[in-house]
Amino acid sequence: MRIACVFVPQLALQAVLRRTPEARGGPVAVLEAGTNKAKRVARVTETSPEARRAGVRAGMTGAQASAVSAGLRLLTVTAADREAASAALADVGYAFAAAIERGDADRIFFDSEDLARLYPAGETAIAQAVQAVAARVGLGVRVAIAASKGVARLATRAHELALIPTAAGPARAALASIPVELLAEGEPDLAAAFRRWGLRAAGDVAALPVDAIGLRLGPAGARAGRLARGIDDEPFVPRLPDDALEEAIELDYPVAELEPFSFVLRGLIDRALTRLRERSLACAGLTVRLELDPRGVDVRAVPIAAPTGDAATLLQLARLDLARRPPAAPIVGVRLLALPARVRATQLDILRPAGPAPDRLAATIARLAALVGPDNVGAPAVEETWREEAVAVTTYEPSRPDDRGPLSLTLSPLRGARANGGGDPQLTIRRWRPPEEIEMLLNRQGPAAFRGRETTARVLIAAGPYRLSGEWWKEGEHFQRAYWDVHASDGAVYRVHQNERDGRWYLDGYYD
Amino acid sequence: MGITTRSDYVELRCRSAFSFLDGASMPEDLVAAAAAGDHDTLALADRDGVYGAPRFFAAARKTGLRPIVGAEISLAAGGVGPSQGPTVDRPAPVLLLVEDRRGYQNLCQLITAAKAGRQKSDSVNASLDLLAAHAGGLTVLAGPAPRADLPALCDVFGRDRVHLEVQRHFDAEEAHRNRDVLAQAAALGVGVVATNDVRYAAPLQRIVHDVLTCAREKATVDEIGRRLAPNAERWLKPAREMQLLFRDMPAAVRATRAIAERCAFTLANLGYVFPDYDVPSGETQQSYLAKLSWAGIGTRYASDDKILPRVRRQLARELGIIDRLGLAGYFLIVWDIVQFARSRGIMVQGRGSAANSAACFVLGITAVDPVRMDLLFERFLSEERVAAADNMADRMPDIDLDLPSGVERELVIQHVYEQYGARGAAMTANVITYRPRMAVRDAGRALGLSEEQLNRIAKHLPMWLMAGDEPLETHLAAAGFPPTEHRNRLIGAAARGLLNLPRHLGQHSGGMVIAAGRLDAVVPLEPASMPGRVVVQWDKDDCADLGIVKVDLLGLGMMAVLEDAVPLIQRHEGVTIDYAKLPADDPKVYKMLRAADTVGVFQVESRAQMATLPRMQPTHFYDLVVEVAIIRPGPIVGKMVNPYLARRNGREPVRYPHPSLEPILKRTLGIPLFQEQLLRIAMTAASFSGGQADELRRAIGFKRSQERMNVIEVSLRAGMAANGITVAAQDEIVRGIKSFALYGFPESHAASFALLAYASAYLKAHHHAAFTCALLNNWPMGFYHPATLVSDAVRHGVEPLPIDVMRSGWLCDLEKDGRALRLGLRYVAGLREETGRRIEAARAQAPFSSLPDFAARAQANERELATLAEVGALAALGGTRRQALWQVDAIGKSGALFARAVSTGAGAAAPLPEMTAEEEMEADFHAGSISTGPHPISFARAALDRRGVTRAGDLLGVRDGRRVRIAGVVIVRQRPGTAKGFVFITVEDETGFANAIVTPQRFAEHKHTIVGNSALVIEGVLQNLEGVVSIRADAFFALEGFTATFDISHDFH
Repeated sequence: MRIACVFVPQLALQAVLRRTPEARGGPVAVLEAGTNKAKRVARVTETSPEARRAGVRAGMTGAQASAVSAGLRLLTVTAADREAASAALADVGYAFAAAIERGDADRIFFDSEDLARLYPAGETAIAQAVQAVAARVGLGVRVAIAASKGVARLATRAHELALIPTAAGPARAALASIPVELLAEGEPDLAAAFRRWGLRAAGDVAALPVDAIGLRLGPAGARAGRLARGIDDEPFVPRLPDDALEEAIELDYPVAELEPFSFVLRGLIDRALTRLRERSLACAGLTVRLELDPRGVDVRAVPIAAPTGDAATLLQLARLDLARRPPAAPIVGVRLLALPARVRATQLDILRPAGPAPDRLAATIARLAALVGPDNVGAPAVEETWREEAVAVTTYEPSRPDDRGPLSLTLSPLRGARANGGGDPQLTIRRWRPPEEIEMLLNRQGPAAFRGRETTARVLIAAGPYRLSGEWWKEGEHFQRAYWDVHASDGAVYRVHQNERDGRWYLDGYYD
Repeated sequence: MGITTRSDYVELRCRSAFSFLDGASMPEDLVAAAAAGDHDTLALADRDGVYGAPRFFAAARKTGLRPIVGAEISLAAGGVGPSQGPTVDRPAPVLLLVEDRRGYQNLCQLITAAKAGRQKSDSVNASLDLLAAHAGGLTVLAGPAPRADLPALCDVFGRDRVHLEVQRHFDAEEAHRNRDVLAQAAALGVGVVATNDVRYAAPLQRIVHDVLTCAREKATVDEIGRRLAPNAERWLKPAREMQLLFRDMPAAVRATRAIAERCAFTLANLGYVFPDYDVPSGETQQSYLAKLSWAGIGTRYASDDKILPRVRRQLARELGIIDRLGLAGYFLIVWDIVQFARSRGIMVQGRGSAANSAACFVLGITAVDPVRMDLLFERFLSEERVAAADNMADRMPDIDLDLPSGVERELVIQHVYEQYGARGAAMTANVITYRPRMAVRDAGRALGLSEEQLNRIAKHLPMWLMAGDEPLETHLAAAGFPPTEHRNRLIGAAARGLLNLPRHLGQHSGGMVIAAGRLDAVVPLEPASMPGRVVVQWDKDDCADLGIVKVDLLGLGMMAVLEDAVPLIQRHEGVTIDYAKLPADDPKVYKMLRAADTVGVFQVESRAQMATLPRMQPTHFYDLVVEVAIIRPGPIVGKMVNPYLARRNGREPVRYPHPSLEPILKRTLGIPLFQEQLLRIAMTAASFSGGQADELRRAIGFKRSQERMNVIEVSLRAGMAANGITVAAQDEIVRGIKSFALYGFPESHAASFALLAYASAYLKAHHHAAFTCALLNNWPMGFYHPATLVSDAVRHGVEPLPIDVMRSGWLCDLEKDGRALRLGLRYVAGLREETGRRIEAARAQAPFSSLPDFAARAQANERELATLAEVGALAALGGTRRQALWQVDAIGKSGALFARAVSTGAGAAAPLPEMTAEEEMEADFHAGSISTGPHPISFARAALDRRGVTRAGDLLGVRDGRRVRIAGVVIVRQRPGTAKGFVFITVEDETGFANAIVTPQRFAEHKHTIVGNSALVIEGVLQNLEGVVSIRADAFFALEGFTATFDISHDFH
């Protein structure tokens, strides 16, 4: 058997560049947030060569990276980006084999032996073809073909394209020059041990008895020893596309508009869902593969928040994705892959009103995101700053009560509830966004009268000033303000402030 | 001047930067701001201590401000009852203001008791009982919020001494809190005062305070959110502005004045007394001292010594002065410490001006004979100075004792603790202040830079910023953080604001203060991080300013070396060394010194000393005294070095600023080099009395007083004019005197150090192996990396022997009758001392028979075994390094159970490639930082020859002015403050050292190459003058293949 390994180096970087092709060729760094809640600062994980040359390194925060490279583009990789890239990689595999093994997200394996007839020029031609297909879906890949998975994997660590002979001797020779650091990738202790032993390349390791290595460095050492000799017994477990249901259609003529294409898509989705329902399953993921005119493929994974069997929802999500990133050319064929899953049973809270169904909600949020941008949809949250109007958008999770308490932009002086007065009512403010600039007339005590777009009033009572200043570290955003609560002649109590840096007055809002 | 009425407002709640990381201004700045803001009184109350009180007091005394002493005390959870403090568990702290001496003593003892037994970093945790026990003489400010424990506080302190506070920082919440405060105060009948809770002197310092808050909270400005203050109102506002702010609460303002009037205590009256020595019955302090001193003559001098009459006369004079000044007790206490050390076999030697005293010499406190050397007693003790002294410390002579660093010095310190009680003696503090690197680190970290970036910046920053140095921003820009970037600019500004602020409290290296009675009634004591140590809250200058006497017990690595060398030489060479009886003016020693062959020699091993020795051509002990004193910032800045050397070498005639000064300056060829000469010049040229002259010295030495110096200069010039000294000569004399402001040496101190220098040079000249062995065993110390010390020893014929588990102990040792140096296990990186000692002990029982036997008995872990194999320490058991490694890796994995199987089976023949000599050297440096093999540069020699590189050892033969190339491992990179930005580099190759001088401009151009590489090729023009060879360098290249492993340089210190 001949196994081909296709490996995407720097998957995250490639995944974001697929989404942002205009950034290619420039300094780009991928930002990813940590999983640890306390340290959720996003940090650079991968960098383009241009960014590396400018001194950007993995582990930097966005601010740090920007400090060293002026023109740097910081791109955030999302799970969807990764999944899409990974799905595209799988697609590359499926373009060559009926079944593939998906290793990690950045690697696939397939049996390439059968391709010999299609590519009589030999394995080099196969590998090059794989690279060409991958390039079309926006992925730069390394390809190695060997007699086993492990050997092919090892070869992709060192070479852009490698063909490792099946016979043990030649295989060992072909691998001999690979540095021990790559042989023991992911296991720094192992690499250090090899170095200590004076071994520099896989060939040196291959010269040692495997059992002797095993005795000293454990199973990982023994595995590396065998691998260096071109021996690997890791089983190859190819799978058909994940039980995925596939529905495809070839169109009689190219479709270039969304509306008519929706009809086509609807039919495919209905068919897929029908098949799933037969098995009491719902759809957990949708991959739409578009054949473009005259050539080319556009593969996109449509993110689905919760498994659903609702065709309208799926269609909606697919349409939104297409609307956000229209295909580059008219469509001449569609293949739909629907991932099956059990329907999520939502346990409703007996004391809370039933919320929207998760699948519908996901569709709605996706729709909103498509309209206003993904960063502008979510639940508002008060930011931890003295800048009063600051507000952040966080993920909307209706099932989990927000532990930060209700959204409260209450202001202190009129807040009835003090530390010990839990039962007191709270006053809230209705806030203008942005604050409205007003003209203010002052007397010796402070504000005396003001005029805004819609409000003109005398000030009957003014409480203040309350000074807030800070964020001196943000260029152009340093604020220094004097706030007043004014009871105006129109009966309302307003919050106003003067920007002490330029003397202008603003109306922030009024108390409810 | 218009008539002004005094404001009633007194600021009673004010923190300085001594509330470490929670105050952004120095006490002096607060005093200046107070004076500018029309405050006539100010209370300073730092957190859990009176750290800033002495400086606050000194600054206030100068401006006429009345300083009130106080401290904010953290309370224990539940100790006073529940309250609405900052946390649920702990009540809010209370601010205690001192009314009278009793109150001050109570405050100090309260803080001491509350800190006792706690970790250094913990805040205090005063319980109600503790407060109750120390409540007298203290007034309480209970904070700006109602508190549940207020009744309890009233019970403890009395209702009239407890006050709640109202504050107005233009913060909306405060209006509520103030209303509640008034309500609770009215309900309980306690007073209300207005305060501003000051954290910095001026509004602009808010940025610095924010950065300090970030450092305290370990957060960046982007994360810290509302833990920063909402505005910049906590500055020391003018009294009138505060009065206006509280115009609707006049009673709260008047109350501040009433409290201030009540707090009359100042630090001028601390009540400190130095203890008496416990003399035998029938003796007084003086009679016992006299008895010991006269007896001491017998041990110091031969009975027929011609100098004896002079000695007796001098001793009698000194004893008379000591008697009249009542200082006998002090001498006895120091003598007692010396006796204790001697009784334990610990070397001890007095340093500093004490060596001017015949009494100290005959008591065995010092080792230099002041009569024979004609040293000036007044430099040590003057009746006039003591009479004029307004506090105890000014009266006390200054005796510093040098002890071997390490365990032995600790023994002596613990002896003093035992002698005077845990609350009677303590170490002085060392206030760690922000230097450029730390300042940029904290500022950069607060503004979000990564540790890697901070490290990069730190590499480009000097240890200290000197006047005239480039500003911080230039260094930041050089590190790749240009000021065009907003945040970089802020980092520079914030770091500048942090510079010189206290960051935390450390422990002074040796200053101990002792009190009769309880020291904790004079200054709070707190546990140091070192177990068994207690520190006072003030540094040595503050202690001295306030009249607290200190004795310095200084650890000197070289003392330990000298001490350790004696048994080594005895054991291996059969020679007994007695440092008191070393041959004087040994020719071999001076030959070595003249050749600047001084690696490891005390005081004369630095690059600058080495460059001077060949020009100095020392032949006698006094030359060494001058050599020690001359390479100091004082003489260098005073431009005395070159004239002295020129006169010495006959290139310039010896002349004197005035004929009357010839007797004083004759020994130093007309150039003043020592502090004693300065005193004598003043006494002769300006007719100063001994006391006046000493006052002059103190004014110069006193770093905080320019005015004091100016006043004395006027009388100095007047005196000289009266004696007919010309203005030009006056200028020369004044310049000479002033240059001592930067650390001139007293002659006696130089002589004490020269003794040690001579002793160490003697060891190096005659017992090089033992000397190197002792140096290695006491490292870190001195100037050079162990690798350099070993290379130097090898060049002197010492045979280096590698680390070997069959031979090496934990420490290095000698073999082959003292001709060979066996490296110790302490030089195996990562080997724990316990493992090393276990190896020693196991081998002493029976030699190791095999590697498995060694592994089983040494109980070294896998990592340790592997490192031992890598450095070749298992050669005797396991063959070559890789063979041993092959075996120990198997043993380490399989454990003792299969050890035997390993020894008979798989381990027998290792299939690994053997290390080349170069690899062995690399492994030595990597795993031990020291090698007994060929010098690293020797491996590059062939390539270097091709590049036309001259060996260090051949440079002396190259003509002056020739262009040369040198190469080597960098062992020194220095930029002394006295060298106007010039950088000095020393590289080492297999033949010796080569020196390069780099202009500031060249350094700026090649900084990355120079700083970033551990081995360099340097090109430039050779200077070969008076036996001193150096290269004026203009081109630098990294020497490939030398990684950070070879980083053995002593940098920029």
